[in-house]
Formats: sequence, C-alpha cells, structure tokens
Amino acid sequence: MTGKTSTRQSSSKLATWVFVGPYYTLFTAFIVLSVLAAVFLSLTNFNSIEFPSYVGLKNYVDLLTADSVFMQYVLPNTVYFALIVGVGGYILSFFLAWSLAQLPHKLRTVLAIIFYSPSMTMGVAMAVVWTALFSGDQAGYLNNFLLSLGLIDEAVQFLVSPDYLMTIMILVGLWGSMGVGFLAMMAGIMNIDKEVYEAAYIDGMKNKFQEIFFITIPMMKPQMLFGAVMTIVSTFQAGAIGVQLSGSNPTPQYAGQLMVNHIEDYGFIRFEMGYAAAVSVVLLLLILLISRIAKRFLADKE
Amino acid sequence: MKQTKVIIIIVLMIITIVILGGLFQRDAVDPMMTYDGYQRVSLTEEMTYTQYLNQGSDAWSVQTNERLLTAHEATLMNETSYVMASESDGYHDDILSLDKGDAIQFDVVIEVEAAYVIEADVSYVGNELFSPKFGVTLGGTYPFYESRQTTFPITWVPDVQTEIKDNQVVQLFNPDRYGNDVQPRSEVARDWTTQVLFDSVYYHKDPLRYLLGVGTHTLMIESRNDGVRIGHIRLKTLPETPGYETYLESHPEATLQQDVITLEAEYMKDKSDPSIKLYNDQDAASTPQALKTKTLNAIDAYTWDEAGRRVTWDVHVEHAGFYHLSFKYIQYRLVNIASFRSIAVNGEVPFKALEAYAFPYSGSWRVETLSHGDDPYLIYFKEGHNTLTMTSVIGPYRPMLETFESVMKDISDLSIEIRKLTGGNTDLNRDWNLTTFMPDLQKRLEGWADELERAYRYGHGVNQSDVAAAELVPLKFAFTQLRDLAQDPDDLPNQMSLFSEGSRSASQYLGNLILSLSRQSMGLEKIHLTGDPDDIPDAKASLWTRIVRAVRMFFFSFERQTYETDDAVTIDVWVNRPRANIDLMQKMIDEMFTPETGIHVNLSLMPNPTKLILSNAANIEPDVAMGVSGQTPYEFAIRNAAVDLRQFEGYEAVVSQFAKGAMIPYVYQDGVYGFPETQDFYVTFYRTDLMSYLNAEVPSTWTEVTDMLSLLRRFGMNYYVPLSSANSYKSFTVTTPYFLQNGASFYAEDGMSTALDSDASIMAMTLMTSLFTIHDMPISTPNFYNHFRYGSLPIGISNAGTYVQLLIAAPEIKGNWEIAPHPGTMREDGINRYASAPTTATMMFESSEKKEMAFEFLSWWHETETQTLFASDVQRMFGKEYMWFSSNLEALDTLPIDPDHREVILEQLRWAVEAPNVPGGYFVEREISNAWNRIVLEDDNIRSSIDLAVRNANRELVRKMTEFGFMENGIPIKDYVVPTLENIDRWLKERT
Repeated sequence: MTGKTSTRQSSSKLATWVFVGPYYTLFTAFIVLSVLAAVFLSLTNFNSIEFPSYVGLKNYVDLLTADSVFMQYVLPNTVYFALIVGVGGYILSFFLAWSLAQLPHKLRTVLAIIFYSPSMTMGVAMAVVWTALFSGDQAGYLNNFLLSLGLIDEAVQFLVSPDYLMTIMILVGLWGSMGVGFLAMMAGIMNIDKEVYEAAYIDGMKNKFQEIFFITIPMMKPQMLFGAVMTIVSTFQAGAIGVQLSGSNPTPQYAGQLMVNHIEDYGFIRFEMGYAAAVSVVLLLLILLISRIAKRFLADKE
Repeated sequence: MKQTKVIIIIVLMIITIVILGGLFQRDAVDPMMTYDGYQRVSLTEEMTYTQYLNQGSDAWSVQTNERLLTAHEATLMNETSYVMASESDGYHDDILSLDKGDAIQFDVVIEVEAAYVIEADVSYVGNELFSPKFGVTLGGTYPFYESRQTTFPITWVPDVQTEIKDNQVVQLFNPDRYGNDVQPRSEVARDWTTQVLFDSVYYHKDPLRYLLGVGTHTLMIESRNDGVRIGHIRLKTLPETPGYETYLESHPEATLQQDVITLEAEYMKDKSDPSIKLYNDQDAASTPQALKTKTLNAIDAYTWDEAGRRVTWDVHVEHAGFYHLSFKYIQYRLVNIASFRSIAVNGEVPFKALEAYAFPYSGSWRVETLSHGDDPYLIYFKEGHNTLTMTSVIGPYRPMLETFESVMKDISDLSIEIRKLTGGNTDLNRDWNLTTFMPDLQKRLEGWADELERAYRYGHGVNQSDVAAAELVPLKFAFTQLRDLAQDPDDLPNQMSLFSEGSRSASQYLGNLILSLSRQSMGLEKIHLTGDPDDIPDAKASLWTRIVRAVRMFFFSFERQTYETDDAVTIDVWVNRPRANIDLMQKMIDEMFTPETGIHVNLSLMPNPTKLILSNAANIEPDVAMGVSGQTPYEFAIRNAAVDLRQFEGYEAVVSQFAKGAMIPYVYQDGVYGFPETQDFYVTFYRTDLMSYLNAEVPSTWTEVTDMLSLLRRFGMNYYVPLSSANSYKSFTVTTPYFLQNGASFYAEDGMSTALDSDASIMAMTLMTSLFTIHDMPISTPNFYNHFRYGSLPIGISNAGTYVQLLIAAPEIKGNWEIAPHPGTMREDGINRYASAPTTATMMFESSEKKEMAFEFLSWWHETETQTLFASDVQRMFGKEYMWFSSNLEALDTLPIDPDHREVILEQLRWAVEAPNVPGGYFVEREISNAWNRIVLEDDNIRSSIDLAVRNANRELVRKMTEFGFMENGIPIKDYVVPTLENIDRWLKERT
C-alpha cells in the first residue's frame, strides 16, 4: 500500500519536474542569471573592454547625487511619460475593450485586430508614418496641412524642438498602447457570464455605468491586473520612441530622454557598463515597486 | 409593404452593380501607332538631333560615298600628340593621341551632298573610361545638342580562361575559396577597332548623321577623356538596313539547317559596360547548375537595362545557312511593358525588324523565337566563326521620351518665370493675375497636356494594348493634372506642387517615367540556333525535377563549407562592409597577398560593429578590424585594447598617403591606433542651369553665401548646409567647419576643459546659428537629394553619398550640376576652407598574437596599388555605383569620375580636418548640439547658452579624465596632448 503511494507520489513529482523543468532552466539561464549579472556589474566600474573592477555602491551614489541629467530630465520624463501613456493607455484599452465587447462577433474581431496592430508594427510605423507626418520641413504632412490652412507661417520643428517632442512621443505611445493587455481585458469582459448581468438587472441595476463598476470590473480583476503589469512594464521600457522620432540619442536637449535611453547613452556611447547596469537595476526596482502598487489595488483579496 | 422592400432591394442591387462595374471597368485607351514626339521650339538653344534630321530631307538618300581622313591631315589642338605608326601598338598608319580637353580638326572637302556618319579606328588606353565622350563641331558650332556628348562605343572583355566544348566557347570562371564562381572582372579592350559615332546615351539606335553640303567643312572632334587614340577617320554614308524580303533575296542559295546550337548567355565574348553582371539563377533548368556551389549561369536583368548596353557572343556554326534564333529570357521590371533589343550577326543588323525587337513582359523564364507573327525569321550564319550581338535600345519609346524631356524643360522654364513674378511667395490667400503677364498661359498648359496624351496613346500602341498599362498611369496623371491647372491658370502659383515641385508634380512624374522607360532590362540564360524551334527544351524545369532539386539542396544545406588553413599563419579579420566587397577583398588577398607573404587571411563579415566590444568581453577578438567607424580605434585605445601602429616598421610609408587631417581622430597620447580606410568629403553641389538663370556665382566664402541667400529667397529657393539635416543631433562632422575656419578649437590645449567659450568659438557659434536665425536657411531637411533635384535647394553642401546618388539616380538633371569646394572664411592668407572629412578605419587589437603579420596585411591593404586595384575592380564587378573613395589620396586620384570633380574633391581634401578625440569629448559634441538647438529653436542668448554648455561639458571632461587617470580631485596629474593640424606631424613618424 504505502509502496504504491510513494511510487505514485515520486512519479508525480517527476512529472512535475518534467513539466516545470524546461521553464525553470530557461528562466534561470536568461532572466535570473542576467539580472544577477546586472546587479553584480552595477557594483563595478566596467568600461566594457577591460575587466570590471569593484567599486561598491559608488555608481548608485553617483546616480543619486551627481547625475544632473538623470535627476533633471530622465527621471521626470520617464515618470511623466509612464503616467500619461501608462494610465491613459490603460484606461483607453479598458474602454476600447469594453466597447468592442458590445459589438457583434465579426466586426469585433476586425476592429480588435485594427487596434492591436499598432503595438506590433511600432518600429516600422515609426519610421514610415510618424516621422513623415511630423517632418520638420514644408513637405511634412502636418506642417503642410497647417501651412495650407494658414495657421502657421513657417514649418514647426516638431521632432527637433523640445517643446513638441515629448507631446508627440506621448501621442505615439498612446497610439501603440493597445497591446496584449488590451486583448486580455477584452477576453476578460467576454468571459463574464451573461446571467450575472441579468441577475443584477433583476436586482435593480439601472444602467451601463453601474454594470461596469459593479459587475464587469470586479469580475475581471485578474485580467485588469495582467493588463496593468503589462502596461507598466512596457511604458517604463519604452525608449525607442524618442530616439527614432528625433533621430538621435541623446534626444535634443534631453527633451525625450527616458531611462532606457539613459542606459544606452552610458552603456554604448560612454562605455560605462557598470553605471548603465546600476541605472537598469534602478529601473527594475521602479517597475517592481509600481507593479506592487498595482497589485495591491487589483489583486483578488482572498 | 413587402413589394416596396423588394423594390428597394432591387434598386440597391442595381446601384451596387453600377458602382462595382465602374470600379472594375478597365481604363480603355485608343492606341496610336505612329508618333513623332514633341520638340520644343526655342530660339536660343541648339536644335535637337531629331529636329536636325527633319531639316535636310533632300540630301539624305544618296548613293554610298566615303571620305578618308588620316592623321597627316589633322590640325592638332591643345596637347594632342602625333604618334608614329611604329609606336601605335599595331596600327598600320600614324595615329593621334588625345587626353581630356584635346582636340583634332580637319578641313574636309565634300563633293557629294549627303548625311555622313563618322567612323573611326580607335583604341582606348586610359583607365577611367566607363563611357568615353567626345564633342563634335562643324564650322566651330555644335550642329545639334546631342553632338556635345557623343561616343565611339567602348568594349570591355571579361578576364577569364576559355576552352572549346562542343565547338562552342566555354568560359571557366574562377571559383572563390568555397567553390562558388566569382564574377569575372573586365578589362577595356585596348586593341584597334573600327567604331561609328553614336550619341552618348544611345537615345538614337542609329549612328549620328551629319549633313554636309558640297564645299569645305571644318570638323573638330574634342576628347572629354584621357587616353584616347585615333587612327583613320572616315566620313561615309550608311546604306539603309534592308527589309526582310530583300534580306532573304540576298542569300539565294541558303537553306534552313537542322542543327541545334545552344549558347550559354553567361559566356560573353565582350560587353559595352562592366556593369552588365552575371548571377546564379537557382532554377533547375538554368545551366550550368551545381548543387553545392553557386555557378554563374545567366545575365542579370537589372544590370542589362540602359540603352546602348551591348553584349557579344561567339557562335561556331558547322553548316552555313539559315537558322531560327531563340532566346531564353526573363523580363519583369515593368509590368506589361516590352524591352527592346537590336540583334546583329557579325556586326550587322540583318534586316529592319531586328533593329528594335520587342521582348514582351515575362515574369519567369520564357523562350522567344525571333519571328513575325507566327512565322519565325530565317537568319543567315556563315560557316565557322560568327558573332552575335545584342544591344539594348530605347526603340519606339524615343519619341515619348523626347516629348517628356521637352515638356519638362518647358515646365521648368515656366516655373522659373512664375517664381520671378511671385518671388516664391507661398501665401495661399493671395490672388495672382498671371494671365495679364502671360496671356497664352492656358494655351501652353493645354498644349502640353494634349502632347502628353498623344504620347500616352502612342505608348499603348507600342505595347499593342488598348487597356491602360499601370506603368503609364503616371503619364495620365501628368496630363490630367496639367489640364486641371489650365482650368484656372491664375491659380497656378498656389498649385506649384502639382506643376513643377515635389514628388506629385507633373514634371516629377515625367522625370520618373524617363527613368523607368529608358531602362530596357532583360535577363538572358540561353540562346538557341535551330532549324525547328520545337527542338528547344522547355524554359522551365518540370515540377518533379524541381522537387528533387529542392530536396537535395535542403539536405546539402546541412553540410558545412569549411576552409582549412594553418592557424599559426592565419590572421582573423572582421570587416564591417557589404558581402560583395568582402568577397572581392578575400579574392584579392588570396591571389596577391598570401602567395607573396605566406600569411593567410580569414575575412568575416561583421554586420554590427558593437560585436567588437562584445567580442572583447568574450575574449574572441580578431587580429584586425576593418571598416569600423573613425571613433572605434580611439575607444579601444584609451581602454588599452588597441595596438599603437607607430611601433611598426613601415608606418611612415603608410600614413604618408593619407590626408593629414584625417589622422587626427586616431591619435591618443603618443600613439596612433588606426588607419583611415575610406574617405568622405564635404563639397558644394550646385545646379548649373539654375545658377546661370539666377546669374549667380558659386559662393566661396560664408559672406558670399549669405549674400546669395537673399537672391535665392526671392525665388523661393534656399541653400543647404549639413546643419539643416533632419537629424537633430549636430555632430562634430557638421560643426567642425565653422569652428576650424574661425581658428577656434573644441578643447583647451591640455584637453582638460573645453574651449567653447573662446572668442573664436563664439564667432563660430554665431555664424552657425545666424545662418538660421537671421538668414532663414531651412532648419530641417530630410532629403537634400530630392530638394536638389526639384530645384528648391539648387545649391548646398553635402558628401560623397549625395555625389553617388546624383551621379546614378538623377537622370533628369544629368549634366546640369557640378561640384565646388566647401565655402570658407576669408583669412589673411586667403580663403580657409577647413571641413570635416570623416573616415572609416582599420585597426589592430592588443590581444592579437600575430601583430607583425597583421601590420603587414594592413600596410599591404593601404598601398596605393592595392587600393587602386580594389577601387577599379569593385566597379568593374558590380557597376559604377560601387564607388570606393579610398583614403589613400593617390588611389583616390585614379577614381574613374569626371576629372573636374576629382580635382574639386582632392582640393577639398587638402582642407580635411577632423575633430580630435578626448576622453569625454562626446559631451562637447552633445553640448554644442544642444546649445545650437537652444539658440535656433528657442531664441536663447548665445553667450548664456554657451556658458551652460561649457559648464556641462567641463564637468564630463573632468569626470572622464579622472576615470582614465589624467586627473585626480580635479587637478591634472598627467599631461594630455590634443592633436591639431599644427602638431599632427609629430605623430606621423615612426616611434624610435
């Protein structure tokens, strides 16, 4: 008897490891180890060619006390960008997911693909659509349009001038923010049992608003959380937008400099990998912290 | 109720059908079979050749007549030299040798009035002859425009071994180290040949005819190239090409032969241009074909397109007589548009129909047997050796292209006239009374539209189609646009984007069409001579053969191509250049360097230069890197990973070939860590047509530039400087000229701080910003090349990339632009034209254990001889757009471009200077860029903006200087020397 159970137990243990093993191996090799390597490098002075030398917490101290660009531009820009694109994009994706869920099946699928596609084609679209749209000579679409309406006298330097760059980055960011989170939310909304709504209407629910707040959102919290985490990660990781739009890293007068750009600046332009690693560790912590906060709001209590 | 529903549904269906029908209905055209083309009438300009031909109709048809001119009768002009027959390399009489600008003149007595072609015995010996050009005058004037640029066709011979197999010539292409065939390089045929004078772009398929009346004429031929030798010249009348019937009658005894002779198109005897390339077609029916290696087995369609590109094959025929001629070709560049070829046997086009034979569109291999309807032509081949020549001709498209060119010129004239009136004003709310100044405006616009519509209909006639071909649609856009504009001619100034400016303008549509229609691309795999065209195998392999081949290829792809060498004498080289370049480099090394030195070199493609940094971390560095950015050697040097090249013997010899200023970025402390490999340059590009219209001189100082701006602005034009590029980051490359020309430098002498706040720097910064804040230069221009073509930026400063682009891809302004040195600043000792000349570099790594070998390799590579050979071979193999601007100035001096352009480039390179490298220097670059942005875009004050830049830059310099041990606690502890043009010489010597 006992022998049988133990074989079954050990074989089920084996089965567990067989199933989990590949993931654990890959996760350790490509995520855990690289994070640990980054943490280690952040404690060194590594010029990416010579062997790293240990400097303790100097990089972190420098980051917090001496890096005026980081404090003056990069951090505020990142938070500002993440706040608007993250929160705005999040609300927008929920709203769009909800609206789409109200539509008939075929139309919904088509529209969902349309809304989802920008997040996949970001890089190409950036080069082809947005830079052409905002191009700073008279041939730029927006400039040409405004000139022909007589609203401006000369071409506006949308992509070069610090006054506009951030706004355009946010616009483009919002445009591309309907990613996986949006699909998850749509799936969440679709999953809610119709009977729940009917029951609620019988209980005296009066309008769509109440429907959203009392039924839809509470019923799809896991998807809301997933969406939130995805949004946070993607907005903090965004770095290519500003560089691609303005055509340079650093962006003009650091107007669109985000943390990822700062990391690239130190890592590949100044060859200070140690410092770049420190910034990326800070970025990791920042994402973790904000994900925690999101979780606190959205996770199932039980 | 129900009835109304049904009615509504029926009505809706009808509407849908009508709409859909409208959508799907194809645009019908009424084709026109003959068309002469539109020639603009201009009193001030020379007539075109077509107009000239129409002039003298009486004298054209005349019995054969010939007039011989020899070297003895010639008047030698300029530096032309007279060479005795004994030194003529095999010519039977005395000859004349001409270089660029030289000319010969004859007084010709003509007894019979006729149209004469000019035939000459020529031999080309120069080394920059891609397309030799001559100017021909009669009585001191050019009789027609095309006479300015004429040519005696040149011949290039592939440099390959041949053997005879089955009576036909087979060429043995050299394999590379992996067994793949290498594109053969071609050499100019230097032997004496008899050639007839053509227009240099081969718009006219026939040789140029000169109308000479009875009397004495002064004929002058001027060479536009070096190394041309001319023997006898003959003025003769050409008999008409016979019709097919006459042709058959001239071979009364010949009968149709039943032999099947198959020629491989890739075994070309000779060709007119090295750009005609071979490639490996993977189709199983394309032969020769190998499974594991790539064999060259067909002519690439994309390289056999320009009019005048000619290929000749040897044909060995056992039995004289008639044959049917079939070609296995592919032709897919323009959908449903035919490509034209003239076909000649033994140097003569047999009958009229083969002067321009249409090969219809075909997206896959197809066999075309030359025929009239279903009736294949009989073509006579003599017994033994024959040649077969195919030349790309514009054929029936010529009248269309002439119309386009004339209309474009008219449009451009009118648009300048309009600009003169409106001053380039772009205010859309302003009304103009153009018709008061140009009463015939509407008529002119409509006239052009009608002319283009005729050309459009004729175009469909050529293609034998009454349905609109997609490729001709832009033409329809052009004439409908012109017609729309004619509706309200007064509004034309506000509609210039539909007329002459920008990518959707009528004139641009026409320009693009000229480009696409004059390209007669066609790929060729096999040629068959048969008695019965049914004997020819299918053009495509059967499905089964294809499947078998695909499966075998799949399994062979697992096999690794290895190349064994002895590690001890092999150096590893990583190259950041295109695959094609690397293949050629490897071939040159294997053929020239390895046998001489015993050192093997293994080149690897390095697609991304950051791999070098990562390779260092992984400890798998190569011995040498090539094609890296000018910054890379320095970055490795300050981190002790690069090799100081000054320690090697022979260093001085290598660096003496470079521009001194180009060496500055490679200096660190006492050492020099890289060699410049290719050389960019910044020169002034200008449109000669617009400059002469504006009556403007090319400015040579900034003051002249700013003076010119007011004139340009009056016509809505502007001046381009690289600072105006769309990239918001203003790198040292674009800011250097302003600083260096004003005597400023970026760093203090000890490199520990920036010198941005010196008076000279502030002057430089003032100039850099005032061009935009005061003089209104364009702040952001994504594409100078296009603006230059449209004429909105008729003058500007740009680099080698633009040069190649304009040379290759701007047919509509061909011959209408020139280059001049970079504008400079007037100093006591003349104009100071310092400008950056960025280089790519070669370098060696400290971790290498074969440094001596690596240096030997580098010094070989940078030799003038190697660089010259590489530059010419890369063009001979891949075409003239593959220009190699070597940093070896002597090698650059032999680049086959217009000698005037080369002079300008070399003159500018005398002023080459690069920003020195200093630890943290990128921050000075960045702060200059930021300061410029602040001043230009945000109207910041110059001095306060520079103050901020200086503070930021100095902080970073101190930080970096501390990192590399030159400073401690803000106090210098070790000297750092910043290289400049004044002190660079001390680094150009070997270390003793």
